[in-house]
Amino acid sequence: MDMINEGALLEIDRLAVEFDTRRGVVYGLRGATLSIGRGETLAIVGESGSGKSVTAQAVMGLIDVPGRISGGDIRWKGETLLGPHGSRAARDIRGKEIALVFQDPMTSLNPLMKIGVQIGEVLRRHLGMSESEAHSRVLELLEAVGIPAPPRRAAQYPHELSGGMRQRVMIAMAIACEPQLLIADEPTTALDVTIQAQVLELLAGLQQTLKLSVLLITHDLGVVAGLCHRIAVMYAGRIVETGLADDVFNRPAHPYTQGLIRSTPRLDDHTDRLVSIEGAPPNMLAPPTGCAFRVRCPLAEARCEQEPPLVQSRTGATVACWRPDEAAWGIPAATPQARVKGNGYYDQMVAEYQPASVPAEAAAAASRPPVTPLLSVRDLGVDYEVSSPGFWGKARKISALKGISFDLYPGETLGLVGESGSGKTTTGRAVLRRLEASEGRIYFKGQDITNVHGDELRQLRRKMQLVFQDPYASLNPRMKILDIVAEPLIAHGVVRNSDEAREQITELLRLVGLSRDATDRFPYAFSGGQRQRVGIARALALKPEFIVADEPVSALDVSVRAQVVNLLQDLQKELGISYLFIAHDLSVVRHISHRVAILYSGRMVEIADRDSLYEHPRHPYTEALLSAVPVPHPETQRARKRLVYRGDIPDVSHWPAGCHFHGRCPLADERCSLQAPPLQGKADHLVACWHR
Amino acid sequence: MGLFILRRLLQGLLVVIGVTIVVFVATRLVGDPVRVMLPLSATAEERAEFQHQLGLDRPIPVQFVEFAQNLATLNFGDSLWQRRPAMGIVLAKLPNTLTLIACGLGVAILLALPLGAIAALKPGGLADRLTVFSGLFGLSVPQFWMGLLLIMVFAVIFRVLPTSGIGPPVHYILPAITLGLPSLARLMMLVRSTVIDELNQQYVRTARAKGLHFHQVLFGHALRNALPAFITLAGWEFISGLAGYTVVVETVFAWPGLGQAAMQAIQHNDLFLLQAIVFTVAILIVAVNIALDVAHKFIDPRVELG
Amino acid sequence: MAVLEISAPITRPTRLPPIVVELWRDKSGLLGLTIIVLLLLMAIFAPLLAPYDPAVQAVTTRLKPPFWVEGGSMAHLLGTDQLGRDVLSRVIFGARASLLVGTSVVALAGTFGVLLGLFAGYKGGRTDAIIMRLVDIQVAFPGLLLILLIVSVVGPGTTTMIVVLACTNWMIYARLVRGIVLTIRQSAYVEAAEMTGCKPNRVIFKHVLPNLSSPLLTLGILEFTNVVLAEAAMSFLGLGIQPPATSWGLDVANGRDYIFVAWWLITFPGLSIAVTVLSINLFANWLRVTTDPQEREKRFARQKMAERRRSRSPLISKA
Repeated sequence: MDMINEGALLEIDRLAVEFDTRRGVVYGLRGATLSIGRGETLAIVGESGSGKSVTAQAVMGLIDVPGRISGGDIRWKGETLLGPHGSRAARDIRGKEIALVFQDPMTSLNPLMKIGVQIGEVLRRHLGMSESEAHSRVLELLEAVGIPAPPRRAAQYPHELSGGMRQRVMIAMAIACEPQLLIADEPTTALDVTIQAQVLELLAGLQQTLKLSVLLITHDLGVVAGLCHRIAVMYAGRIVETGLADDVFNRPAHPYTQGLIRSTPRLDDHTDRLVSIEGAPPNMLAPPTGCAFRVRCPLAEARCEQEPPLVQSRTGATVACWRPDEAAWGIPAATPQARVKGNGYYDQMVAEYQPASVPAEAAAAASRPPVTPLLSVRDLGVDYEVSSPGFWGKARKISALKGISFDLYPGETLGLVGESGSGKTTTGRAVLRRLEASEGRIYFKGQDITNVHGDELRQLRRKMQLVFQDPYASLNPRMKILDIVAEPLIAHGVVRNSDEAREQITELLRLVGLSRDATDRFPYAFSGGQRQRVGIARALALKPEFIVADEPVSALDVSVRAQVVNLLQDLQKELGISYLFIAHDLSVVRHISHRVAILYSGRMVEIADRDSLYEHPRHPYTEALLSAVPVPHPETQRARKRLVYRGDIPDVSHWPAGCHFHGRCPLADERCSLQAPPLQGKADHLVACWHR
Repeated sequence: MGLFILRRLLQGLLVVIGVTIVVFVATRLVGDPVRVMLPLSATAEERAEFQHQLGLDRPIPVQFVEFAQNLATLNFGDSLWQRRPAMGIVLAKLPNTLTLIACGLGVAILLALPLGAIAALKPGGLADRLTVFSGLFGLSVPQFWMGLLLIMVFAVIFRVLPTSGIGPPVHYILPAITLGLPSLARLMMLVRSTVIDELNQQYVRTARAKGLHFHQVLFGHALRNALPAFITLAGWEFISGLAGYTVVVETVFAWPGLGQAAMQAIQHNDLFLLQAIVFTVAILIVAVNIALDVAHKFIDPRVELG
Repeated sequence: MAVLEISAPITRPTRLPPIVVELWRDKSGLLGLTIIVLLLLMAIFAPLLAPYDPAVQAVTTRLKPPFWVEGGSMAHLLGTDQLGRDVLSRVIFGARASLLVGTSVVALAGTFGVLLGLFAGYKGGRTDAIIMRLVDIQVAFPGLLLILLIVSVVGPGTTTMIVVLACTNWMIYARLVRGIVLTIRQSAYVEAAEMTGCKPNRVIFKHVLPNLSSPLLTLGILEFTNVVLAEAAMSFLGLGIQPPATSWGLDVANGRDYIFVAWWLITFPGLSIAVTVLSINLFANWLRVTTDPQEREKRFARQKMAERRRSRSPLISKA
């Protein structure tokens, strides 16, 4: 592909970036080729390690030691940005003609500099404005990105702004010199979904009014669907498919693209089982030769070990594949794949579980059988210590959670959804008695466990376990997998040391899909998805009846996320475990949950059966939340009605009186601002709103 | 702000009370002031007389109350050695020590910022390795030896600089260099490592992505953000100078400051003078600490006082 | 569900541990370690190495210069002092004082500080507040002046100095340990251990303590240098090691009056202190980087970069 695209603004030509690490050379980019035209919105989609962020950094000249550009070229309007001459020219182009918005608005602004000054810096650098000229332009910019009260905000420091506001400041800084190209590197990943909707709306609007070209880098197909003309899919440092958004979504030509789209759960769909791409993202120390995807590809054959050619697909997309346009992923399997059964711990485990619990399907049925709930929570509240108890006084406390009530039945999954500060994690920890409840009661199998302590609490821990969000932080890096999974057994005196548990652990690991030789390795040898499997095995070791899964898949890549979701569902079907599934991702929750509860600012606003909640939401916040979740399908996403409510999620230390949502709610009246609505409604659908 | 200063003053009071107790315990309970203060040839009557004169024959609690009362009124008694109020001696010597610290630390501060920043530009480069090595060298050379070497080289061999006592500005050169060298080394290494850290922060990438010139990124962002840590360490250097680390330099260069006074008090077994010095310094340290916290608030808007 | 293969290989033990290779590459760290080992040997075998008894005076051979200076002789390689004592022997024996005081103070202060820090960090709440306030208060003490006061009251000597230095140096360990314990306690894997029902003892020994070893090692080494310098300064002021024992600081003080006639008297003991402390610092500097995974990566990358620059390979274009 050596043709020069005349109309292209930015051309990336066979770009290669390598990183020197102690374990060897990590290949960040391995010859990525891409171009973006004027006024065009192009998305680069890929999972972690695919090289999508490295591409943005290379364009912006931000590749630092240990990284280096080892080949290829980057051209802006036909002129190279690399080499001694190019990088001199690039300095005047960056920030002026090409601007960048980073993922994390928390760390991307200088904490010690007023935001007005930070924005003004660009104007003074590139447009030679004086301080006062820059200041008045800054106020216009803040206005343009929807920041209220610009003069006051301009004089504030980043820590005084919310995450959404900071990202608006970043965008104001990026558009300050009216650039031709805006590179947005995961611009909404760190934001809550309702705030994400605001920022995406802002970006789309700016793109229209300023005639911007946008290079959007994301892992989230939903974000892409509503915003972009073209899509480039990256895998293992290369672009595997480039095409028009609608074509790529409707007729993906590369098996990886197909897998990616199929494994992304959709809000508007509730297939019980997701398609998952087996295996882990490639180890970029030694990426497979030829097509890097062949080791995970259902279509792989001998010639895939050769570099695949770039070909046109039926829809006109450019694909790097030997077998484009061949359907790789069938209709999702209705039943879990047959497991290789052993005759040890695993079978025993299934046997022990089955009689004790009710089959999952029965529990999920609309008319619930008269079983006692496994877990009952009534009016739960949790206070947080704001300051530690000092030398002199008592700790200052604020309420982080109030009036939470729900039941969890055996074999059921209750999805607990909320944005940051909603108290969903706090709820999970309080239920597990990790945090003390300041009010309300928790019943486990009819027994009041609110005030259980000491040994009794330790015994209780055998029955209820936790799966963590971050599979990297939750495994002690100094312990072998065997010791990690055996720890609960040792702690409860089931075995004396981990070697005694070796057989059981091997069975457990097989149950979660890890091979026998995993036992004697350390966590660093595993990918994120594999680590999460270890975490699940550890939680299962004591054969609990109930697991709190705290954002168990949010740190994982899309293709791996589907694997873990499927694993959790399979385990539930076979073992009858109940889950309290905490997440912010409504699409995943729809797939895994039987019932769903929505939290907002420490209050439960709605709880209902999955389908009635998703199809007939009653609380205005639930409506806004659902409409804010982007659907990874361009036509659907464009056709959806979106409710974007202004304003930020209230901070936990400044909760308003009355209904916490009243500041952003279109239905709010005086009563809402004075009196908190109770959770009420018909049988299976409760809502806390005065108007619904 | 007011509340904060009040709290810090209370905390400072705790420091002063702590020092009181340590001094009291050290002088009255662990050691025997009479044995220390009178010559070995003194008779038993002389000892008893002296003990009575100082009030040391009364019960310990009574002694402590009186001791504390005297402190509260800044009455440290007379220097046994010079036979005049101890506080007067302290106040006469203090300015000499303060100017010495100011000169030494001032030079260190002025040099540390540029040297550390240059090293940070290219970690592992020649300038950086030189900085690290000379910094480690500066931390490793004992001050008293450095002082003597300087005397030997500049005053004895080249005969260009005065080697002892206070006087016109040339007298400050050698003592200030000796005193400032370890501070320079520490400050320079700190600037280097903080600037390297800051240059790796995400906000610096933002600044670079904005197309700012390198000097704007370095001075406007990285070095600016290294200031809070720098001020903290510089303040600590000032405090440790006050806390007695000038003693060595003052001894080597016969500098008539607090440190030298402390050494003389020790040689003359003058506990009252030593007490007066310790208390003055303790109060100064508390004051400097509060000033540092307030300064911190102005440099770093994220700092919440309290 | 298919059983997954694990892609990364099991690390196999190589003949030379990578850490040795890394030390070999860092010449200043290697030099530091070599000198430290030599110094230790010198201190241990001082009676065998020293040509003379360091305390024996000889009036006939007073103030002899080192052998390479006119008037010096091979009998006294580094010359003699005003009492005719052999400077080389005194330097060799002086290492003992520095290392003894350094080791004892670091051990005493370290033990006390680590225990209090662990206690404060693990207990949290009021216990933590009280212990840390105590640390704050003592840090704000006029350190050296108080040391001088106490030493002058109690009477100078090696034991006094060790105890006093230990009493004024424990705080930094407490702060470090408490900070680490607090961070580790918040880590997800400690929460995981507690959630599975591990008892506090197991959590501390299995999960918290292993994280302390390398920062404590680095801190202990750096504190050792501070103590060696403090010992030298106090001995120089006459408040530390007392004659007839030998110490480098003491020897510099003795040579001070002869600075105009016998430069070697202050030069060699002073140099010994400087070389000792410098080599420890060089080694500690290497160790600090090596025990920090991020710093270690960066150092590796920089070395790679330098190698590449030396081989002058231009940008490889795959075109």
